[in-house]
Amino acid sequence: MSESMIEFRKEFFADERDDRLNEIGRPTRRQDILGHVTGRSPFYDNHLFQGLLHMRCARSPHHAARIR
Amino acid sequence: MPRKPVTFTLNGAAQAAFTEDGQNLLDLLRRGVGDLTPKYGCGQGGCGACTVLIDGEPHLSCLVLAETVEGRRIETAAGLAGASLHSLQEAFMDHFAAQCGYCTPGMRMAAKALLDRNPRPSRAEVVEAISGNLCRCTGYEPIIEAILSVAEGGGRR
Repeated sequence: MSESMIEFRKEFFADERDDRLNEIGRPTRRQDILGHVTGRSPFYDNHLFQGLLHMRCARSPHHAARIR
Repeated sequence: MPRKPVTFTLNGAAQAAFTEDGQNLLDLLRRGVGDLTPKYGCGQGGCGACTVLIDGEPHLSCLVLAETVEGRRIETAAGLAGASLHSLQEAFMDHFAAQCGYCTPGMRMAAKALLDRNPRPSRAEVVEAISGNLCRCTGYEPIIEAILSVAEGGGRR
């Protein structure tokens, strides 16, 4: 993270900042962000496996209709 | 179902695949080719998560018929990082411009198209460029800041 960004964000943490600490009160990069910016983070739609079932909703065109 | 061969360039490499009848480009990329970086969001062209570049122009791949990309040049987020990260990716990391990360690949492709076309965009032009991409967690401000920081000289404000 660039120095200017750290300076800019310091004001957000002004009341709890302590320059002797390495992490507390300092902006830090998210741990999962590398996957996000490269598009490699897995999401639910990445999963495709053998025997995967698909469903589709069929909704009743009538209230309180009887299924026959 | 009839299958049709289609050949195109994906991130600089020649690619050949079969398209199903009526298959969209997003499905071809994700299921057919295995490039999972474009995301399936709404499937209706509303969210921009599936944005890819076709011949340098941003397109919503869920609305592009796969067989129409014959011979064209497609870029996805997978091609953005070479040996090192693209400057846009560094900027997104530095500016907290991703939270869940689902909109991020689409955002970045839209941003890349803008910066390729106009290396010094104004803030309004950045907003216009990503207006087709929805983000539901980070908010747009960090994303706009990230893109402006990559623009030459920090961009015109």
